Amino acid sequence: MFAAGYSVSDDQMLNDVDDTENSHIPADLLPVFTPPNPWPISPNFENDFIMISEFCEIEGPNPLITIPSDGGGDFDKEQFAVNIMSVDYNATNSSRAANGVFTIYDDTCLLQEELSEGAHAYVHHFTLYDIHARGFVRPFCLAYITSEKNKLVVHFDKIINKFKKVTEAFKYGNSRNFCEDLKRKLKDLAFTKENHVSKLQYMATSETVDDIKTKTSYTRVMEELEKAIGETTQILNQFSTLKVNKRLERRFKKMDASENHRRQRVHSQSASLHGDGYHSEGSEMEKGFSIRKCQSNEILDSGHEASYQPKLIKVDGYRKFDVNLRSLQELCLWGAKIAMSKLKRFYKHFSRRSEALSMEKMESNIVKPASSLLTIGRTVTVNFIPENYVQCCKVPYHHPHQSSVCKTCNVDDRISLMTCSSTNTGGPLTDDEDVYSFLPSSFEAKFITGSDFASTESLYYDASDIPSIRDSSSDASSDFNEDWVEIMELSSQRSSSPNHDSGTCTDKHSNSNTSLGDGISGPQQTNGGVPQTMDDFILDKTQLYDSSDRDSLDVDSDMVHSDTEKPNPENNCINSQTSILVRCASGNSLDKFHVPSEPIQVPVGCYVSWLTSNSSRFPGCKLRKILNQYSFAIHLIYALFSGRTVIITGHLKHQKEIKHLITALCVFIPGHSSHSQIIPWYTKPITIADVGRLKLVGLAKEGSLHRVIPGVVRNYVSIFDFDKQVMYTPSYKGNYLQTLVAQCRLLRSDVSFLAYIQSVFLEMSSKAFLFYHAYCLADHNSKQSNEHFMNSAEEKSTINSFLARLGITDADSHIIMYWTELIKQQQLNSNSRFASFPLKSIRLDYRICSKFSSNPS
Amino acid sequence: MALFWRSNRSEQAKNKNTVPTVEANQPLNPFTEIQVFTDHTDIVRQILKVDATRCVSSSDDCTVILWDVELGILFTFVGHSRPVTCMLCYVSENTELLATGSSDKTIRIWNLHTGECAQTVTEHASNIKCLVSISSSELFCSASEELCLWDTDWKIVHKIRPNEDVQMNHILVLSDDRLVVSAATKLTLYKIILIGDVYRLQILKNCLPHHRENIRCLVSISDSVFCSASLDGAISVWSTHALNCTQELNKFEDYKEHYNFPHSVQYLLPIQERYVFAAIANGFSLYDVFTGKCLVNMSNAHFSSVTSLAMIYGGEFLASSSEDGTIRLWGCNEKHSPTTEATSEFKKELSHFFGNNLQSTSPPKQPYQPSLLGQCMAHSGAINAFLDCGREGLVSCGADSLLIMWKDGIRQSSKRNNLIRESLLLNGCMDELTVSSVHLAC
Repeated sequence: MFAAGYSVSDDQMLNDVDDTENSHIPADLLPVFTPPNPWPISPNFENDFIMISEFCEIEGPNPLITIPSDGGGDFDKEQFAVNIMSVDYNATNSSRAANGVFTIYDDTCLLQEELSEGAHAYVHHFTLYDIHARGFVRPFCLAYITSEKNKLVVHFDKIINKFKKVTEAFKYGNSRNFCEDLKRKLKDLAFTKENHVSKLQYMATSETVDDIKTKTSYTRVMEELEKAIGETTQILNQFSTLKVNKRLERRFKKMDASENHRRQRVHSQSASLHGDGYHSEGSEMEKGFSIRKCQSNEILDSGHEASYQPKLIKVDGYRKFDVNLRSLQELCLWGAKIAMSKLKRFYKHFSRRSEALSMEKMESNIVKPASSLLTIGRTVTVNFIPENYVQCCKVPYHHPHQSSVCKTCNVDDRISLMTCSSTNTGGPLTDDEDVYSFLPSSFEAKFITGSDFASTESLYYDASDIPSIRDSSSDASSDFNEDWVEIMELSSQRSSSPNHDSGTCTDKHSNSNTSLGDGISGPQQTNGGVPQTMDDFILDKTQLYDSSDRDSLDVDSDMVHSDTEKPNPENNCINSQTSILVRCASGNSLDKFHVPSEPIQVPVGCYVSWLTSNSSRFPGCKLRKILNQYSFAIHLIYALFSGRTVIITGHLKHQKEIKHLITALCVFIPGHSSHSQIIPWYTKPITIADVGRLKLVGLAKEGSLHRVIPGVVRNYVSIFDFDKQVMYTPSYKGNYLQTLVAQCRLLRSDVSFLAYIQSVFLEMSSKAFLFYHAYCLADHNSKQSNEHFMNSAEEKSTINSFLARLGITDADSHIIMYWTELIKQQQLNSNSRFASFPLKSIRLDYRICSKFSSNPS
Repeated sequence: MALFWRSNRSEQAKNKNTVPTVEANQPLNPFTEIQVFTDHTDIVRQILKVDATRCVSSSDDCTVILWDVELGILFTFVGHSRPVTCMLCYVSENTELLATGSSDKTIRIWNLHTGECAQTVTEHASNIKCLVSISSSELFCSASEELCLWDTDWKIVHKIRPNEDVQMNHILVLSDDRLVVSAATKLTLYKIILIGDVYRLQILKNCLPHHRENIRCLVSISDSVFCSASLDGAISVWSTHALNCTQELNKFEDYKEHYNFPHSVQYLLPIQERYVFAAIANGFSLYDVFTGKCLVNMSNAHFSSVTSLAMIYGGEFLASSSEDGTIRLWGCNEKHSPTTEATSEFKKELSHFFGNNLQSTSPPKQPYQPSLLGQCMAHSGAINAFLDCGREGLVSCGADSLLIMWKDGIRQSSKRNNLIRESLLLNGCMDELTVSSVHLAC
């Protein structure tokens, strides 16, 4: 029996396996071990997305918007919204919700996993205020959902910052709106109160029982009214104590003004709409609707505020919350627009591969100061004196008893200092330096035709990136910002007499200290002093970006302007301790060479950004093909590397090919100053002055070569005659480029080759780094050159023997020396103290050219 | 095409009648950096040195610009309505002033510190050609068709008009308040005499013989000798005391009038009170004014007329500028050995130029031919003038309206090293300051 029973069950089991139906087997008999899936659960969505959801008091948790609009794929957004919104983070703090007193809530953020979906999310809760909502609160939530957990962990600080900035915009718009509503309500209450008082006075004369009853009810109403008034004023007071984000304020004003302007034209039509909304004492529904209408039309008009006609309202009785509440846009007005554009930009940047993000983060550490940064092909290679290095070097100078102070001063960097101070005080976050906006989110090679000088760097701008590039200027200008310092440098550079010595530096220093101490006044004054300079500055920038697309810019176009005179909103809230730290930190930053305030700013990025971008036309694409096609490519690269202007000239019909060639070759352009520009297509004859500023030019050949390249210029440039496929350039005899070109045949794809050449760049630039520090900045050098009669010939041979010891032979030494010179020039240009060296100098290259032909035959 | 790429140059150099081309890579040319200034809008005619770091340039755009060799433009003097033809720098009551004479028949006085026009003088009735200061009697003299004498406040003292319609081009101030004035082919000696308390100009004599063609240059060699040179190529050496012609150099006896003056002398550069470099047509020569011997003859130095000559870069090179748009650097190709200096009859300045040739062939029988050591090429038109700034470099100006500063690249690089090093050191100090201020604040 036992056996039979067993056999039956065995049979059954086999059947079950076949039928895949084992429901009647007790759970404990089922195999316990289930091998874990070695692969991560494939997420239900391909790309990252941002979701905005709301805990709606009528419908419950509700996903509102996703970025991109079709983001998320099969991801169960409703369920996720329930998950993230099911906790009231605001209520966890007992002190807040305790006595039912209205409080302004801080944001809450956390990382959350949704294992079943293979998703990881950064969740950011924030609260908006709505006069029609229960308890006046409208809980919202932003979530960044991705399948890569690492991305969130590594860049957590950045996400927090960015999202805080987003909610800041939401909240600023909302608080403005909410305060307007409250003020209106206050007027209503006052009006109602007045009404009641007159009624009471009238009733005081009659003494009937009925009247007494009403009278008591009236007094109760009066009490309610008083209470409501008290409550509303208290809330208003709370909002008025909030710090105002000046920057957002200005931006709002700009948008208001433009909106007003627009509306004035259609004012007559809308005027009739205003009238009826206010006086109707209909249902809640109607009222909500009317307010919605009025706010959308009228709140923005400050002129209408005074003419608001109060109405009687009911204070007792119950409120019904069955009304459709206002949407996010209606709650936040411009705030929503600003915040959404910020979010979209963040998404565009952050939804890329995490490798690219990490690489950018790594490289962004050495980006500053830009003056000592060596870039090749506009990508970060080596910083000769990175900020951190300078700080390290400074430590030994400090006296022992001060070391603790120094440590706190030098702690990590200013970024951490700023974020900590701003989170502690809970004040509005101002945009601190945004690394990612410094690095354009994706490089897409885009040529804008015409040889207009202003648009030369259009090559590097993706039109949609322009806001972020613009933003970089504004973002960098925030807080203890360098931007106005930079401006000061500019101004002092212009106004300074030739014999400006170290005094300037001290001046600047003290300036910065006072301005940081005094808070707002300092920077404003500084800016007030040099409006013209600033204008020029902006002008140049706008010129540069004039090829932008308009629609995405309407929000941002005013930003540059508004931010220019941006005061320092942060300072008020910092307690004394932090302010000292900050002062010190920014003092440090002042000492160093600062971001060059050259009129032409060239965006510098990370090469990984190109490689991971989806575009098929990144700088350097088809490079392998070109190297294989042209036997003289090595000499061409040598010319670019050693700072010789390369002109690729050809007939108009070859314009496209030449531009392609330039896209590929621009990865070899060292430097990012206005002295090393790339012009894809130029139609004027080259002059000697052009040789100084252009490094790679596509030149339209009209008629003969002599006409477009005069004899004077010809001696100092390398010429690639595209029509004849002939190149005139100094020939290369060295090691580095040989290996670089040889590798081209081994690597199969452009992307891997481009990644490889970065390693060659790094190796070469490390030699330049050595040369710079061990020779150029060395002491022996100073003694020698102090002598009045410096012998250039001797100097030259010393340099050569030094480089030889580094293993650098003749042709390579040209490259190394040029790169070093480039850094030195950048440093001097960026520093106003060297007013004696602001002149552009053109290197004359006497190397003799050889003729190369692409067909060896 | 081959010419541009500078191939097979050495063979050409050996041939006397061809213009030498520059050696590959120009290892001896120190000027590897230039700064180009485009502030002038028309042909730049002259450059005048103000002091070690400043110079003024005059252009056909009727402006004069004050430059700093390191900083670039300092002031633009705008006021003349016609091109400026002559300039004179002087100091009056501790103020540096610049007097400019122009084809608009006025002289303007500019303040070099403020850039303002301090005075405008309108006495002249024709184009002003020359301005000199006579330091011994604190007077100024200007030449147009008339000769004017001015006091320090530019009030007219005396004006004479010796010849109708003949422009006077040059004035050379000799000792004893004497002036040699050139007008067309003639040289005339004037004397400033004091009658009562008024200075007067008086014609003393004409210097004879006259040149066959218009006089282009008039320079003083020493206290006792001056030189004049004319379009026909003749260079006359005059004694300042007797005013007789002691030597006639480069004289072509069978000279025939020729419309483009194939031997014209454009420039004279006196050296060491005894020698004179002359820019003759496309080449240059060095003469000993005492013996009349031609020491150096480089008849085909440039592709076009030589416009100016100077010893530059601490005397290391002779530079010649030309209408072909280049400045060429000449010297001795071989390594110069310092021992020859003591024995040589030339002073240090020329010893670089001659190198060892001096020792072996002294006195030289054949005129020496210097080697072309470098070619500075950045102007796209004729170079009208250039100025030596010692080891700092050169300033050149030309018909392409550019002003170019030529710098020693290695020296500049080394200067940059120093500046950066200084600033880094300063940063270290600054950091200490910061820390101490923090310490105080705590």
